[in-house]
Amino acid sequence: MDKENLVLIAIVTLFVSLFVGLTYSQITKYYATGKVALKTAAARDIALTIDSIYASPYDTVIEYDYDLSLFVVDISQNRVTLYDAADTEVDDEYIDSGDNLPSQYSFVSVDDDDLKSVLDRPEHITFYKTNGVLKITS
Amino acid sequence: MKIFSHKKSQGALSNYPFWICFTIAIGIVSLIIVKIANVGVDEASRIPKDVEDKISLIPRFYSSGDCFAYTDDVGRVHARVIDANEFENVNMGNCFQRSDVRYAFSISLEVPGVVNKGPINTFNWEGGPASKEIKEDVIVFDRIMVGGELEDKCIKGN
Repeated sequence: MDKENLVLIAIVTLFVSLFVGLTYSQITKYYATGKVALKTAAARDIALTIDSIYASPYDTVIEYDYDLSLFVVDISQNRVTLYDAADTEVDDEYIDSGDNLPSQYSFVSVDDDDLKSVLDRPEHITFYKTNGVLKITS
Repeated sequence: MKIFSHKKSQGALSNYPFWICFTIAIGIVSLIIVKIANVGVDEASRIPKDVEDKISLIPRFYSSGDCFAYTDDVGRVHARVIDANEFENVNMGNCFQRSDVRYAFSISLEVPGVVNKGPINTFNWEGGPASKEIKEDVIVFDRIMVGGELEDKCIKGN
């Protein structure tokens, strides 16, 4: 192999490695700060909001004014689950999702076995608690 | 082009061991990326210390009428006033219903020399040493109102 070719191969390898390295860091950054992080944070946030409402002795209305239109929110069985809306179909509270990595977080209800709510691409969420019964709508 | 017609390079590319090593390397790099990204996601959505247990979960014990808070004759619930007669295991089932929550509690009620009740445990309390002890000042309703202390022992799961 002549020297000219060796140098050329080395340069090309260097550029390809640099490109791959930069792309990987961008993928990691997108994954860690984008939709996936929002999905995880929103599930936790909604679960904590529900816990806090149950802890209040009063009738309560809370407007959760955060656009979650990229997701389908399922609140049931003392658990908040967020699915990627792009991979999910909702048909009358029945969820058919191909999202392999839904975000989940648990809350603890107070004397309320019936809390169930499916919110399809909600742009905001309203929590109402009257006489100890919580309703969640979008 | 000469670079792509080099015999040794072609040999390496048509070589099975090369492709096996290449695939393993890609797999390892992908795993590292997913691991780093997951750490990033966890960090970005981490719940600050004391928020879930102390602010979201514990107040129900002394503020919810379905737990141990005092409810007067007209149905008004008095936050931070505990009805000593309601401070029983039987009320914990409604107060802290079954779920996959990561926290477990064991609570006791004490007014020195007057009331000493508990501990009452949540369904997921498995005993053993508590990871945290939290004391809350409350008023205890036991025919008369007296000052008291609610002690929450808390275990955080994974």
